[in-house]
Amino acid sequence: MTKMGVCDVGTPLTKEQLVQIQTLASAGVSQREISKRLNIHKNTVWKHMSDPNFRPNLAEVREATKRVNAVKVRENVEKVHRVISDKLDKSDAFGAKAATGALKDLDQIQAVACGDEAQAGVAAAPSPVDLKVLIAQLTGSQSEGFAGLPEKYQPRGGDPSLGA
Amino acid sequence: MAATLPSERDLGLLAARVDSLSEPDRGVLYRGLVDAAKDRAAHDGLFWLRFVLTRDEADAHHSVKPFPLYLDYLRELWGVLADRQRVVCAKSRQMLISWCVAAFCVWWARHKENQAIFWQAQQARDAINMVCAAKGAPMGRCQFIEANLPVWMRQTLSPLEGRLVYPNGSFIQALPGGAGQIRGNVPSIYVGDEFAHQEEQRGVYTAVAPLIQKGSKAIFISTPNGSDNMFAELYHGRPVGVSASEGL
Repeated sequence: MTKMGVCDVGTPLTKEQLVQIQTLASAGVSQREISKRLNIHKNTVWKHMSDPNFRPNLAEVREATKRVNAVKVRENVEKVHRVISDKLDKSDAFGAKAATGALKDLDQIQAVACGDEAQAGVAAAPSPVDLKVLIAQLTGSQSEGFAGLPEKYQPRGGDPSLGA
Repeated sequence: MAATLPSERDLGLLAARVDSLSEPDRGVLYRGLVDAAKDRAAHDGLFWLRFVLTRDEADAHHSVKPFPLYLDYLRELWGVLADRQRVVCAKSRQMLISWCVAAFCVWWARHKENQAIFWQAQQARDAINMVCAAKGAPMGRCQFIEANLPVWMRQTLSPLEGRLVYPNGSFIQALPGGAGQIRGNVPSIYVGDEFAHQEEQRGVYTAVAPLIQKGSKAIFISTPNGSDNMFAELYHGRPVGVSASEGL
């Protein structure tokens, strides 16, 4: 069946069209949308995407896309890193605390973007430092970043209304 | 149900043993502590306040500070806010009353579902500055509190100018002054900021009062502005100059 402007189902696709299908499919574009964009019949798109030889290629394209994206994210994160590090050098204790937190967040964003699951979630595999920081937050004994403040700002230990 | 948070003594002992724990054990402990802390923060506001930071524009050296839990009156105010439905608070400036009420609204919104919290000030700009500012502008107070909570406690919020929307369906909305602004809404919590300086105070109170009977909270905070206004009447429990027996 032929529609106006739509290729026949049986028409072989060019190499360029196959690459375009792979690229769009790896970006998560639906088969219907690919058919529309490339002006190829949807059955042809389905036929090629269900071809067992096509699938490994699709996985390769996805990996390649992920690598390219990861490089871009890493570059951008590094730029932001540099800006924050500069500020860190010049800032006071509070600015330093905020900047250190921001750097840590950026590391996490980068790890997630790059698919680095080991580093991605602090909760998944917290370092001893992460765990100590959490315990310090829970006990109210975290003084890092607030060193310049009077002691009264630190929650009082042993106060029944403040903690167990 | 999350486990109970260990006592401070036990947490201290855990901290000393952290280095000897294996990676999986650290993960289990971390998640357990976070769950227990979130669970406790949901019903213990003073515990949650430990993680709240405030911004003090007047202090050039230490502009960000932990919430001053050492101030007894703020802890007492928190208890009143949690227990009472109608709160009238006359204050002077720089007492952190507004910060305390903003923190209370944030705590309420993030821990209770589908709550509508309205923060009304005479000028829309003032209300927006208390709730959530536009992208690129300095953060509103509620927004600042959320943004500075520990990473493990943060939520994905939808910040819009004058409105902070929570994933649980609750929101905090800034409103300009006027009885008409609040009349069509059904607040879970109404905050009248600098209420003594608002126009149409009586109209606002008339719109809010029936909701107090239904279970809503109404919080009126203000620096005093003489005795001839609704705020003074609410504060004293009767019009100024009228004896208690003839009061409201």
